[in-house]
Amino acid sequence: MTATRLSESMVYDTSCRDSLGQLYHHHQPWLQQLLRRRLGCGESASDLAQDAFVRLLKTPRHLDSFDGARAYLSRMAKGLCVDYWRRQDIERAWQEALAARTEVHLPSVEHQQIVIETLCEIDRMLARLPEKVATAFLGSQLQGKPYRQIAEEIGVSERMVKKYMAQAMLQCALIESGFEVSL
Amino acid sequence: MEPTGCSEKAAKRLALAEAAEWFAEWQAGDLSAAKRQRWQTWRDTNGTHRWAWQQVEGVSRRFTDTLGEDERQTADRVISLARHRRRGRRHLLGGLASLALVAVLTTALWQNTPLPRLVLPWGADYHTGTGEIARIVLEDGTQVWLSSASALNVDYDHHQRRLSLVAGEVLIATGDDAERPFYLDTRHARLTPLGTRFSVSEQESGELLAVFDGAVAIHTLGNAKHAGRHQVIHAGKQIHFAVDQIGELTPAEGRREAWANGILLAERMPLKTFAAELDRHHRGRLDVDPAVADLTLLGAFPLNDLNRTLDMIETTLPVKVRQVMPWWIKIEAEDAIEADPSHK
Repeated sequence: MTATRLSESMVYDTSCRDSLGQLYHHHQPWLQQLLRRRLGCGESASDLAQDAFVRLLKTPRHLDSFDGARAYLSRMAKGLCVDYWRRQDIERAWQEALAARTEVHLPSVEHQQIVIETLCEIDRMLARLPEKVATAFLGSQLQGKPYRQIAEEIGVSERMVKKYMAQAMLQCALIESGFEVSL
Repeated sequence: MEPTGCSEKAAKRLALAEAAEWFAEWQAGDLSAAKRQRWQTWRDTNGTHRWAWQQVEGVSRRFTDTLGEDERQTADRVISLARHRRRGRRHLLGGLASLALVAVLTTALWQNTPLPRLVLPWGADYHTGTGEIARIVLEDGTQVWLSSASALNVDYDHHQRRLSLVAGEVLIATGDDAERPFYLDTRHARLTPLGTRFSVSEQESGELLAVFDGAVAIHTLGNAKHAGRHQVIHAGKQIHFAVDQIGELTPAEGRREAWANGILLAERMPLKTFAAELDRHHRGRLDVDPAVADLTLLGAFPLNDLNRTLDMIETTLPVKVRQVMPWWIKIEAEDAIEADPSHK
């Protein structure tokens, strides 16, 4: 019942510490539970819930009602989960790649974190692209493969590879310049 | 080429598209001196172009700055693997709930569907499995809903936005882009929407276009005997067409777009049509007894909840739903089971 009463009067401005504190107080347990349901893991849920509030502290928002705040937080939770799963996929694949390596010395943990962060960023930018387009772009940018080789590998013409490259770069550039948000 | 008469945002988007094209040229590695000169002129004579090129360089640096030479090979494998697994999961969630069913049905499918039609969708840019409805947002803001068992190719470039429907049914709400024309190519025609919302679906013969907003121009492809034909269809109308002909205009049916929201809308629909529509969204077989095939239905039914939909039919019509096999459902007259001694 408190929820109904609060929904009428509550305004949060997260640039103000007191207001952010109130937001935390009113919504943190709810958000954490929402995340736990989605992720099926209590520890990650509480980490992600903290992340959400840290983001609100860094980029302040004006949320004009109790329900509005919940709607915003639930959208944010969805994004955080997608990001979390993406990171898990990348980390797992990275560990497997490391395990398969034959060299004796491994990169430092700090460096590995930076690499994983970069991979997540690239992965996020390419998320919307069809499979062949992403494959062509990665092959060219990461492995420096010539168009002819890529064309043979994915079974399209060289002209098509060039089109794929432009398509992929446009998608990335739209995200880079803030025209679009990544998935 | 100074952009005039368009907003700053549109000019920036256009410049990004051009920069991406130049980037693709550079990466090809065989840029002639003349082309280099043209690139230089393009970049240096316009502030927006310079800005766009910086964005492209920014993206490119992400690949090179933090990753060492030897790490890039691994990086490609890692990202590809992660994407691959994610895709596998999506398909699994998308409706492979009953694997056994797929096995049973495969034989039947191969017998009934010509080979190229079955293979093609999996090579398309976007495709859906049976029971899946996908929403895709393209770079210009165009929204596309892809119905069950459908496939679509997307081919956007600097000059045009071209989609092609490979199989099934699609609902499109076109985005704004004054510079590049938009086309939807189907097996029978080229459709040119004029700022609009419309759907196209494959029929037994030909295709059906329904327009909900704006207007769409049809240019049928024509064949040896008949020249291609041309007609503009306005909002609120639907029409059947094929390679060599365009049919009569009728009012647009709500169900031609309701499926995008997961709803099967029946507006005095014969039970046999209803069952055929439902069948497209589910694996397995759904038969209707001819004795009840012409009973009509009215209402909105969930596409993703077969049991509930069948329950609803049972309560509104004098019919009985019988599960012959786990994957085979028959809708028959309420008294058929008693009246027909051949049923066990």
